[in-house]
Amino acid sequence: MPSLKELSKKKELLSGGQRLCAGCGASIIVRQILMAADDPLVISSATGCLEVATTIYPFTAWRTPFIHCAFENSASTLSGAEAAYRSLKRQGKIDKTIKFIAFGGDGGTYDIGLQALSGVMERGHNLLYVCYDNQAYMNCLSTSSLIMTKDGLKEITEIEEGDEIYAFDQKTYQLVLKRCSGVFDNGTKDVYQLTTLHHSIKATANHPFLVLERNGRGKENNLVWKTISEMKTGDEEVVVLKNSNGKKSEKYPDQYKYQNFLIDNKYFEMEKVRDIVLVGQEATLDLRVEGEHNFIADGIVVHNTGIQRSSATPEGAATTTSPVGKAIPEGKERPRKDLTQIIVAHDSPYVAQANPAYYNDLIKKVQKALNTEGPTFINILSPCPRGWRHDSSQSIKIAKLAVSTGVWPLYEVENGNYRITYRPKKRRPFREWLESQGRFKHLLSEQNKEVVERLEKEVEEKEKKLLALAGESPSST
Amino acid sequence: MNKRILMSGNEALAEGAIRAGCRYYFGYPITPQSEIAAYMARRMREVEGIFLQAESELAAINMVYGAASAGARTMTSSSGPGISLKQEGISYLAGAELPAVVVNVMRGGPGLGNIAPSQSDYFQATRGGGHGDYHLVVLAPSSVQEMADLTYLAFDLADKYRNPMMILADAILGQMMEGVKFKNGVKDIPGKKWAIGGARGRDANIIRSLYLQEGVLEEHNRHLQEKYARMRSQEVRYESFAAKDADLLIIAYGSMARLSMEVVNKLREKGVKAGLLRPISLWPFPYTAIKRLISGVKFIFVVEMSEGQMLEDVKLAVGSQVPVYFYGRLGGGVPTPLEIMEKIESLLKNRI
Repeated sequence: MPSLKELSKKKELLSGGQRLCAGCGASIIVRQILMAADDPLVISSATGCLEVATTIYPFTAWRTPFIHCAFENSASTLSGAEAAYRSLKRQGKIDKTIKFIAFGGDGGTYDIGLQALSGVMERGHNLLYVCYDNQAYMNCLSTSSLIMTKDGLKEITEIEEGDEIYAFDQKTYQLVLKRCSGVFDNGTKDVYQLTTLHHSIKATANHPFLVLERNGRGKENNLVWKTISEMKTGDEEVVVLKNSNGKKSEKYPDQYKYQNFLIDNKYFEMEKVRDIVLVGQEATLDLRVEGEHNFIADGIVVHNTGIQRSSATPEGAATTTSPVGKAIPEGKERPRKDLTQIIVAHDSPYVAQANPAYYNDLIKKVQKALNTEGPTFINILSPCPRGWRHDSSQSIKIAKLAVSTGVWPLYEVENGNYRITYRPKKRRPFREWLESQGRFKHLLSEQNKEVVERLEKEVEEKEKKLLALAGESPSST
Repeated sequence: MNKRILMSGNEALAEGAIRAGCRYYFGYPITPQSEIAAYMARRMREVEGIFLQAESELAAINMVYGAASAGARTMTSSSGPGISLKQEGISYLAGAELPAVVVNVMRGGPGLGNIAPSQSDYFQATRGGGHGDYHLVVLAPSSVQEMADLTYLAFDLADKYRNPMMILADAILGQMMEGVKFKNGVKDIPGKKWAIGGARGRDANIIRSLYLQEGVLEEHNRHLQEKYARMRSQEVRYESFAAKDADLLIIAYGSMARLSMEVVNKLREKGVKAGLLRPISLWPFPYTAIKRLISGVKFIFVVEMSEGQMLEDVKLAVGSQVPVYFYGRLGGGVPTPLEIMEKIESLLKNRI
């Protein structure tokens, strides 16, 4: 294998400037894969973060032929392209060697795309299928809140003073256009997530909220402005999530970026603050819109929703469709599907599991797969700061932890022969994996002690089985 | 609890379904309706119902088929691309006469399109959508309140006719928040004698859409058509606004009707006698209501977030009696009241 120095001199086939999040595993994975290829490539990608963020029309980040298809059929679409290539080659119309790589996320592979992937494996197409597995249906476009303007949807960063922006007039219940009177860059700040029964809002520590102040029996209660740093979880009742200095005469619009609801004095609701969590540093922008009323453009603006569980989501993880609550304190109740093993069962000539933190292992596997005749498959763990709830600087560290805790073993199966390609010298405690990510935070409570013990045992059992298949002795450390 | 609550359209719709007695929700993520799934994931536990995230839209709609066969109030929701995938199952539901509610929070198409609001699935919704001669009752809310209320109503209609119902909303309605008041939860859902649930002591119930003997399928289709005729006569819903003395009648549905109301107000301020007709049921379409209203109308203006799909129904209703004009935006584009005003004013100028 060429050295990293040599590889870094190769032309990058996925350009920078695309819209994947900071710390996203998918772009790191794709760059490593594209580096590994020596022949021209044809790429397909299922609908998902990777496709949405790298190919926002009329732009593309791919310096390769690239075809996007629906959610369920990356494997089918590339089957068609590969079959056409084989035919043209037979007819002597192409003499170049071209390699084919299909990408899909875990939703598009484990769930809705499994049928298409299974078909490819059985029919024996000469292509590599890569699943970038971020373990749920994730939330892309995090940094690009879309604002509805007179000229269509615009990113918050594209809005300029004087632009006409859609707002919702609560008095007349109509959509109205209002002029934007200012855009303010608030810089990168610590952003907190405040959660109530129905709402969740991200805001900076000095973001003011209208809070109910109880003045005791017989006295009238009143509303006061408090910032997030002044609030306590549980006993505060928030009225409205509003970015204002509190003076009635000066009503500022809300930070569109972080809100998705309407405000009107007539319909204020009291809701208890359930949770305030620091979610990391984010760039913050503020829009100011002329007029007397409260305007919420984001209330009618759509941005990609995400973080729903998939069959790749590990047991115990919290997602929006496997939420943690009183009834289910442990989050997702079912173990994840072992997709790698399902593809092994298709007798594919080459199946592997990889991880972007171990780049030489990953690149070697891709080269092996591309040089193998027939359908090959690599399942690659892809850290997702938004969905896994960790700081974007921690992605590679956490990816490493997945290997050293035994959660994501690195192995390959070549013509049925198992080989562990990397065995961590020192095994890290399973708990460290859980502690590294917010999606497992609830598991660390006393209540979930047994769940964690069970999950840990399951990881150990799986590893033992894998070691036996590879003919290696059980872990000595 | 009859307080007014601030909620998004998607959440209000989900709560409306729960109040209507829906205890079985089968979903799959797609923007801009994923909040329905997230809400159901939390709420179904509280009411001892089932939230189930399927592995695909195809799986979700067929889970609905299963739950509906067993006599349960059940629903699924999606947006454009996902609704296309569900069409096979919806056709089966219609063929097997199973009550269920399917929600489409429309986004821009065709293909993957985008995630912005659109009304481009009108044809698909009102013409059946899948294979075979069938119809769904299609209800188009235009406020967060109606997201809840029409969903509530849809469950009753579904049971009444043993037919799938569709709620046709769009990304604006799904994402925006307004105050909403909920009806009390349904206490008694009438029993369903036709449902599958153990045949001890009675003849077996059979749920199917496959009829192979000669003439039997035709007979079944005749029976379905009689049912659709009953829906046509009983389930037309619409609302009119300042339409009685109108010279100019705007016809729009869903979020575009909200916007058109502003246009009507502005035109009235300028002395133009404008009015609005808002179809609430898109199938059955209020043909007769339109026919009745247009006797004094000088011209009709249709506004849609599509290239004129409901326009065809309006033209069917109007015939050649009154000229029909149209303005639409495509692929996630949302017109502004001002844009529509300008269009109408230039029309008025040219006519004089």
